[in-house]
Amino acid sequence: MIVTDGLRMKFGRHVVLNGLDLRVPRGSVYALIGSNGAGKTTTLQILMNLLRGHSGNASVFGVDSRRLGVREYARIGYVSEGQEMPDAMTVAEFLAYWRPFYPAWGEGRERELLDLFRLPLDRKLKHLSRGMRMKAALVSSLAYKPELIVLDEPFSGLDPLVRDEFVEGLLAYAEESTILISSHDLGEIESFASHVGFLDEGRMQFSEEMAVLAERFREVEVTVDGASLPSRVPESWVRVETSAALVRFVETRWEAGRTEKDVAEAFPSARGVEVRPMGLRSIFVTLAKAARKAA
Amino acid sequence: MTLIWHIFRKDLRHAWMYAAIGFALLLVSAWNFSRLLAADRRGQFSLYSIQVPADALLLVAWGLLSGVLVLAERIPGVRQHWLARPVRWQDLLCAKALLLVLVAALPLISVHLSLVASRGFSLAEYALAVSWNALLMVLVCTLAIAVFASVSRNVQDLVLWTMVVGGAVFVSLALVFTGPRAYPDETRWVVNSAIVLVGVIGGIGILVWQYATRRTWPGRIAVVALCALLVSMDFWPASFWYAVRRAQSAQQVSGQIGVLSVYPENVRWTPNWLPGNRVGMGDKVGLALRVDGVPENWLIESNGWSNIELRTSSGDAPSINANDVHGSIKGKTFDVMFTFPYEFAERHRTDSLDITMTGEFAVYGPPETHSMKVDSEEFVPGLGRCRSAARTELLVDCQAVLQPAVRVVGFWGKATIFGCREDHAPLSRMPISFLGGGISATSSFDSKDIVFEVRKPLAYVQRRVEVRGLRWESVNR
Repeated sequence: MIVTDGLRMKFGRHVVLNGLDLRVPRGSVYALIGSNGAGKTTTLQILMNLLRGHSGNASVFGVDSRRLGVREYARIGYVSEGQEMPDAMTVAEFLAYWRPFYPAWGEGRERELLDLFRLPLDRKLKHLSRGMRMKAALVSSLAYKPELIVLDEPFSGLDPLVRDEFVEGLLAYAEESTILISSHDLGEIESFASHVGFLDEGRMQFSEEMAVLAERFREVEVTVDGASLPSRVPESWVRVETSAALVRFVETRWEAGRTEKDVAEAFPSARGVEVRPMGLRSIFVTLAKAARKAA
Repeated sequence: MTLIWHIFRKDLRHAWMYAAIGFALLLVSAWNFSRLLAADRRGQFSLYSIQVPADALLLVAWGLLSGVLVLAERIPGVRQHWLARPVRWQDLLCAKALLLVLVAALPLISVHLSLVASRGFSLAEYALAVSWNALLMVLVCTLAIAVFASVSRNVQDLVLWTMVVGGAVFVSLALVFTGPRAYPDETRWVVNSAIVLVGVIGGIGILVWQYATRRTWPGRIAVVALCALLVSMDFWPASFWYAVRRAQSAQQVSGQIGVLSVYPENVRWTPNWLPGNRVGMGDKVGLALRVDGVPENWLIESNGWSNIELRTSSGDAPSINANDVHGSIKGKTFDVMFTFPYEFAERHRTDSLDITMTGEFAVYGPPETHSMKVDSEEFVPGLGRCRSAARTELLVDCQAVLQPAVRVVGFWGKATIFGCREDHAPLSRMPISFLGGGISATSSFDSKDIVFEVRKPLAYVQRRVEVRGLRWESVNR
């Protein structure tokens, strides 16, 4: 559905994307995560042909993103944080304006979305709250059953209730769509993303299915007599911390049996090993800190 | 087409106020202009004091309208809601253009055609030219702001572009217009037409390119480059504009216009006559020139000179520019006057002189003579609707659709009322132009008729002349 190969982009001397390879499978809900300035928004803007990469390739539906045209855009719903809306229009006028551009626009579907989001049709967009504006944008992007939905930081600045409503609407009306979403709200994303890609300093650090990711990351806590680190620890261990009688680390390639064996080899005097699964937020923080430390 | 109409209606809802203000100002301008057409020359002055600000405000209103339309879907940036939507840029651009046509161009065309018809001119004859002129007028009023808006991120940006770049162009052109111009008066309409056409074509090109590619910085560079080009056109050499005039004018008789030659026996030398104060003054040498092949009742007018080279037999070659050469009409011959620094003339008093230069000429056909009664109003062929009134002076006012390319001389008895040449140019202007003249009361009041001699241009030609071995001692003093 979406493919980028060696995508590079820089603003002045600042390299934003440094050879980005991305694969978003059809039907997936792909979460693009990364710290501020990692290049998430730039990636989405290149994919939507709002910006042009300096080198490399990006394609959507098999079409070079620089050549995306009316036919492709009619199959895409794009909503971004801080999107400039026609403030003088009411919600009804806004939806009425976009309706004829999409042959697949369903007025029944539009009404259902409006009911779900409780949007005031007669209110001007400039008088709506941030959350309401995002909902209006989402309605205008879901009413035609887009094959691809691209959301750039959609939850930013939304209160939890609105966030929940937003996700609820998205999941209810995008069941057949591929979704590419960039967000900091990892807790929210975790609940519905099927794939996740971690972008750091313009490169994809990893990209895999959520289930696989959750499976291979474990927080490990080892109780030892006098915690001292061995001279070498496996490369897959990150954020290794020691305290009086504890060693904590994150195993990034957890495998039942193998990790315990590695721990036993590193800490022969270990009195106990506790392995806990990690949430996406913890994984993201671990990786971001590790990347920052490596840099 | 459906989507163009759809975008058009959205834009109209968004910009109706600007459209309405423009329409109201257009009505004021038209109403006042119709009064101006009906007024005598004395009454026109006060009406101009309404006409000028009304037209200026109309220009501002249409400029704002075009800016608002473009900024409704602003082009620079990546956060606009309409991006990543199935909107064809062609539809967007056509919708904006359609709105300008319907709320500005069509009303203006209607108003201009009404004005032309109200003065009794034939609509069948002038409808096309007047419509084209009005369309061009709307383009001139709206295109610059639309182009600036296409590279602006917001209204503040647009104001900055308009003030800085637009202001710089305006001031540069105004300075050229009020200062010593690099081009002669005869080519002014060519230069102005070229500036309008290059501006319109370049502006449309940038606008289309901006919509098609949304490349902000290259677009901004293109806008500045176009403005610089327009300003620079005022400084292009006169020979270029003469060539454009020749290429763009109907050359009905150029083949039969013969060579340009000099009559050595009629060369005159006029020494500087100011005693003791010769610095800055100069001796003058007048050449009598003649163009062959011009029938007796035609008129040939010298417009300007270029590529002037003078060389003395001792090898000295003074620099002479076109401003040092003055020609005047005298039947079929021209007196061309060179001014030399006194020292140069003294130094080469015994040398011979070679002169080569290129002249530009307008050739007019035989005069069509028409007359009209004093204190009457009637159509004069080739001149338009004329009105004459004899009080303490005789005033003649003629109104013509756009500006006919004619050379007119009016006579009242032995007095010449006016001699005026108007050049037709595809410029944006009011549909009816004025031509007028007058004389104070003289003994000619006994004459009943005013006689006009109207000549139409047949060709614009360029001829080169060479004078070899001109000896200054032989020059008549």
